[in-house]
Amino acid sequence: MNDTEMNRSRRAALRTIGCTSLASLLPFAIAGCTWEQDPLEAIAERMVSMLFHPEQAKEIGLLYIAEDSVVQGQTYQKITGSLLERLGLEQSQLSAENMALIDERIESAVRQDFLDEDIIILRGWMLSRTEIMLCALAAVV
Amino acid sequence: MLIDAKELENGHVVEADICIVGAGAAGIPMGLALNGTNKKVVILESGGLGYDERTQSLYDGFNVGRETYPISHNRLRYFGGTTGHWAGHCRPFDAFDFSKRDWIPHSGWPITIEELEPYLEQTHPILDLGKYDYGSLPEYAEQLGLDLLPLQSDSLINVMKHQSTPTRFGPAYQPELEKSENVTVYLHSNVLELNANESASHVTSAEVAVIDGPRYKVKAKNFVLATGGLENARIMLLSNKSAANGLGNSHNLVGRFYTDHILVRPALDIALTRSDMNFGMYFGSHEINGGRVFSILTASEALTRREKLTRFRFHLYNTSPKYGSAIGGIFSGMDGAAEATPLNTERGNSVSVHMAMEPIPNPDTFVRLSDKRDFLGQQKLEVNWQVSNAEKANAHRAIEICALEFARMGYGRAYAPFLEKPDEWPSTFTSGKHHCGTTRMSDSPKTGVVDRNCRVFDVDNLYITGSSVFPTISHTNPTLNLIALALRLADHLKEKTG
Repeated sequence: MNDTEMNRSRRAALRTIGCTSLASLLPFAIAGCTWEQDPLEAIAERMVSMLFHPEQAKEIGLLYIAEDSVVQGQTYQKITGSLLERLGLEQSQLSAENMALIDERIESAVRQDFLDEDIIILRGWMLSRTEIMLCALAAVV
Repeated sequence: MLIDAKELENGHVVEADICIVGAGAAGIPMGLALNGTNKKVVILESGGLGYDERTQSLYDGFNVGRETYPISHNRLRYFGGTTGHWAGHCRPFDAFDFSKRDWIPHSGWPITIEELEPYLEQTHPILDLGKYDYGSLPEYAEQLGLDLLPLQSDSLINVMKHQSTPTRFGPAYQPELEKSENVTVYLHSNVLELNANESASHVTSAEVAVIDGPRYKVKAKNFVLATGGLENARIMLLSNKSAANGLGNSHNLVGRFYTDHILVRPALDIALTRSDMNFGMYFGSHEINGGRVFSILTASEALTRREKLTRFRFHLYNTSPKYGSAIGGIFSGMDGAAEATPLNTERGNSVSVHMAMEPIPNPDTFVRLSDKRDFLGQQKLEVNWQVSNAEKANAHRAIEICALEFARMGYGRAYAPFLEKPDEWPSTFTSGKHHCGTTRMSDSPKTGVVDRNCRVFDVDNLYITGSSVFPTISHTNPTLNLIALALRLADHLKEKTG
């Protein structure tokens, strides 16, 4: 199974069982971090798991960080906090059982970014602010 | 009837009710419309029945403004004119293209779409197009079993274009004009200038030269210039015996407002993030209702007015993947995209989007006579095409809107270098090869060269037809629209001459 197929398979699995409590545990197992160990890192990894090609997303994130002085030097905790804010979520609202909320919020945040024209142009690509912050997170997490 | 003017004697005089100069997209439909009437009509065509390098070279001139295609490459100088190599895309102007748009200086036609509508419909059989219908795109797509993009905002809209075969007017209409008893086409007849009375208010004759052949004269009650967006102005400027600045040029407007569509192709590439869309309606034309149609994207009137833009359109083309690790694929899951094909660009699923944009009328873009002469002794043209920063900003915004729309629909992410460097036109910027505006239509001689009936102000029997009379040019291709104007002018002349 190549990377693409693996990611597709993982996402398909998540979609299939996304509403169950088990679903929220799946990405942590893949990422190697649990809620009990570090909730914020678990949230960050959940966010990054939304990216189909994390390695490529990381490259994009590094490009963005290199060009945006505001993001430069930010830790994953800071970026995750900013993303939660964009998603209208407090860390206290999340638990191991309701992490799927992040997925839903990210989807709608991306759509809203494009509606609001809250976008970034990076190397000629038009990306939503939420997307590029996810890439930045992938680069530092 | 077709006559090769090489056979005429030097000093020969032809007499007619109506003399049309040019047998191309405008002149031939006029001839067809006047065929069978009681008018004696003469059509003067510079070329023969096919391409000839020497004749074509009479189009040679100079680009002295922004570099673009050599001006002799965009047109064809033989019977049938530029229809000999046109692409056949057809769509009429929209109603609001004719209106004065406060944010576009020098915009506004003196006529409305209603005045042109009957003639627009008549263009369809001439162009071998199907039923005259531009409003039933959703129904057509449904009948064809093809998708239309579910555009989600009030910015971009799907609109229909018709596809001509494309009809080559030379071979298509030679038989009909050959058989005509009242319309005579004189081949190899280059109009050098128009002679006018002392006050330059009435054209008396046209001076005609045949390459390596006789020179002769055509006397007519009415003259029509139908030689294209550049040569119409050139003949007016060359006709300077009675008026030093050229005929109809007392306000120094002949040749000014030269314009052309601004093209960026591709303007952007869309890396698709889903594969459940059949782009067939955009990628090629489809046979339906006796013709062929396809879909393009354009800005809604609401968007155009809200953002004070000029008109623009997008053509979509299938393209092979270019991006290796496509950003579009990385984000495919985040907008609810199809799970089955997460990285569509690996499968060749990307869309190349080409843009054509209406320019802003500008009196400082112009054509004028140069000091250099062609081998018939006529001054060649200089073409000064300029594009402004306002047009660049308009193009940038148009491309941004398209990129946003594909993202909003969840269909993909756009790659467009112009978005990152809005101060520089992208390398894919070019002109549309649609020469327009040099003898613009207006209600006042202070702002235009011809009146609402295409008659040159202050010259009672000289008319101009073709894209040179367009005061603004919308985003759409000119051919169908200029033919409608030519048919309208034919009706006007029938009425005028009784």
